[in-house]
Amino acid sequence: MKNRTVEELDKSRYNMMLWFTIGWGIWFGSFILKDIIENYALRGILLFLALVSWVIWTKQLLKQRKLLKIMNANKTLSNALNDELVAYNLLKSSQVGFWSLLNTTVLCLIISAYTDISAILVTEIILFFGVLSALIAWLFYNKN
Amino acid sequence: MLGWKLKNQIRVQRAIKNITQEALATEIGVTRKTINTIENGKFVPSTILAIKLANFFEITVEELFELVEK
Repeated sequence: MKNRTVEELDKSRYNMMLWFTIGWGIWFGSFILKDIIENYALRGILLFLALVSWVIWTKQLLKQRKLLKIMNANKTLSNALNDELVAYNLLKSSQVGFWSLLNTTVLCLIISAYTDISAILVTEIILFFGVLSALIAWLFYNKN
Repeated sequence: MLGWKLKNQIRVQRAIKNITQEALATEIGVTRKTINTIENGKFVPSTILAIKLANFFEITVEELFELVEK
């Protein structure tokens, strides 16, 4: 029964992270795009998309808190769910995120040589790709 | 480590003990995925985990794991 719980929570965590990634990608992606695109109708659609995906993202964030509560209450469960493979995959995902962050920064630097690009937009783009690539890498490494 | 592969006898030992990956994972305190990746040679376990596994199967670490050149 305890075993089933570990497996169930592991699957639940994976699904949670999947929706968290989708939520982040659409929410922050459309948030950035709405500042670039000038078409009023398209901006409205993007704003709506950002709002819906933000709800998805926030819901997953709350689910994560719930999972953390369950894990904190049971040390054996917590240790099994955060075993060395999970720690290793987290490290690899962080590395992917770090390199993505660096590459995006270089790309923005190159773009800035040809066109004016605001500091806020650059920060948003770097944050978006850094987090998104780390999340996608986590999903890739932890897939069953 | 480049040029080396860690072969293991986990599948064989599981068959001898007639235990599933899930049950072994519970005994050791890890997820089934971890046992699966070690068994398939995709993940190299820490010394602690290797000793835990060897202790569970009541054999030595060297009997459970073997270092072979690729």
